[in-house]
Amino acid sequence: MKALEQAQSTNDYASQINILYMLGTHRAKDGSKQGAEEALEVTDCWRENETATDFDPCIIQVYNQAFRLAKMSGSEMEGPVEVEIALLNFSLGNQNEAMDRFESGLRKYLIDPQRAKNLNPKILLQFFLMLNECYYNLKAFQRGIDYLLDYMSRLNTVGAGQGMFPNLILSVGEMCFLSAQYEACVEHLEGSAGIVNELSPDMRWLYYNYLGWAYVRQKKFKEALPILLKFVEVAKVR
Amino acid sequence: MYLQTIEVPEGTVLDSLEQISAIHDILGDKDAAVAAFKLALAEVRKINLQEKPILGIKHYYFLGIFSVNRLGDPVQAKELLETAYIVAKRMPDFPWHSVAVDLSDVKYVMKDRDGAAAQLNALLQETNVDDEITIKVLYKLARIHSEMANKSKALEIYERLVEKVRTSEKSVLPEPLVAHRVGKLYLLTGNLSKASHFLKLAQSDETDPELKSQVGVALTAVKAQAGERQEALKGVEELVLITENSITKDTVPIGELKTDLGEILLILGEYNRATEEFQKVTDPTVINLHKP
Repeated sequence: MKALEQAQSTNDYASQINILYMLGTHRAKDGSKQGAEEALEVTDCWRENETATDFDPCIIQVYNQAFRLAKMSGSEMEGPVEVEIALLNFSLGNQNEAMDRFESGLRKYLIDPQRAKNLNPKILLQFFLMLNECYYNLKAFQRGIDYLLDYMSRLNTVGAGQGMFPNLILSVGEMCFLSAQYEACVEHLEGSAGIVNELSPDMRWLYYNYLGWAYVRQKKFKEALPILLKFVEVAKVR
Repeated sequence: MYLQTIEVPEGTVLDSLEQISAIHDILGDKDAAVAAFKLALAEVRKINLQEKPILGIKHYYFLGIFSVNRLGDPVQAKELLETAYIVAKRMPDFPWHSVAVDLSDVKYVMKDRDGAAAQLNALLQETNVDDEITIKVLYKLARIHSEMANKSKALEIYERLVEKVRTSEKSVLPEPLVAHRVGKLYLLTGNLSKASHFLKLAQSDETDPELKSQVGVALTAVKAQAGERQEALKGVEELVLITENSITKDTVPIGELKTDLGEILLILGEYNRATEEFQKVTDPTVINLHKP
């Protein structure tokens, strides 16, 4: 706590943000009693005999405090802190808030092209996994399609995260299918030549499944046939 | 989005194999359709019906209907539909009635009329059968009895059917169509008052020219058989007018109408006119002698 007090006394926003971020993350991820208590103390949330679940709104306050400081000081931590807020909302079941926060936070990851290039695609994809779950649960398919396409375009602009494209395109195709936009589903899946080979072998069946059935729904049976045959082949050897 | 291996959900491969078979059939490749069907068949047998009854019913039912309608294999269809039926029937609140109707259809296609009738009769004993299903069951059962020359039973069921159609809010079969069938059947049994009663019920439909002409013919035949000569001849003239107006319009099957008219004229002793009408059946200038 001394470190935080010190940072506050010298108006060192970056240190304050980092400390708050770590406190929140420590509590949220590890469930550490000490981390939680420190975080709660910072936000005056401490009450006796609180249950672990009751701590969560307090943790959000820690993150919100960090987020406000990051925004005010133009810190590069704004994105990561907002994604943490999204994660917490997601785990609390606040899907709408989580969706907004993920979208906003993930965009901020790309503000600095150099930093964007250093991002770990696997971690980013985990965030997208949860964001997509929000889209599915809220049936916000069109919003999801628009966001993912926009995100891919931003990734292209900064020249980062190309390895995520197959998964993101597959998600776009899936959401097009689930929202009965079969033509668009085919367009995205067929239009991204070669993505099927970049997908992990265990996921290729999904590509063929959505593509084949999108053709079937459009009564384009000749086009559907080879894709469905491929699906059966891939699905059966798994 | 998926980051880890996810299992292919049970039934997904089967869905695709069924679709592949259907597409081959649509594209006219029967052999490929049968080959894919066989693969689907092997796949459906893997379903644990105790654990996944709904999935089982869905696919056994689909493959059963597919094999009779698309592949012309009622024997295979019967086995598949019977499985779907057994699984469906032991599930509480499952709508198994329509599966039973389809199973009776397959038995009917296999010329097993007794089996089909037994299946339908069992359904009639059930309570809470939807009106739509009851109407279908009565109609099919009446048809079977009629074909088995069991006219009195057929008529009894047809009368129940007319009543059901009249009182039901679900119009699966139009009442005039059913009434026409009942009326004609009574005409064949010689019960002219009942025939007349039901044929007059059938007259309520003004929208179907073919049915209207058929009902007109049957009513005229009733009058002819009842000895109401003048009334019957008047009916004949009206029908002749209909046939002349319909020759170029293709609204009624002229050939059948002329044949029926000829038969009525024979009853009335109008042999020359009857011959004329019969001859017109083979007239090459009449284009719509028989409807497809």
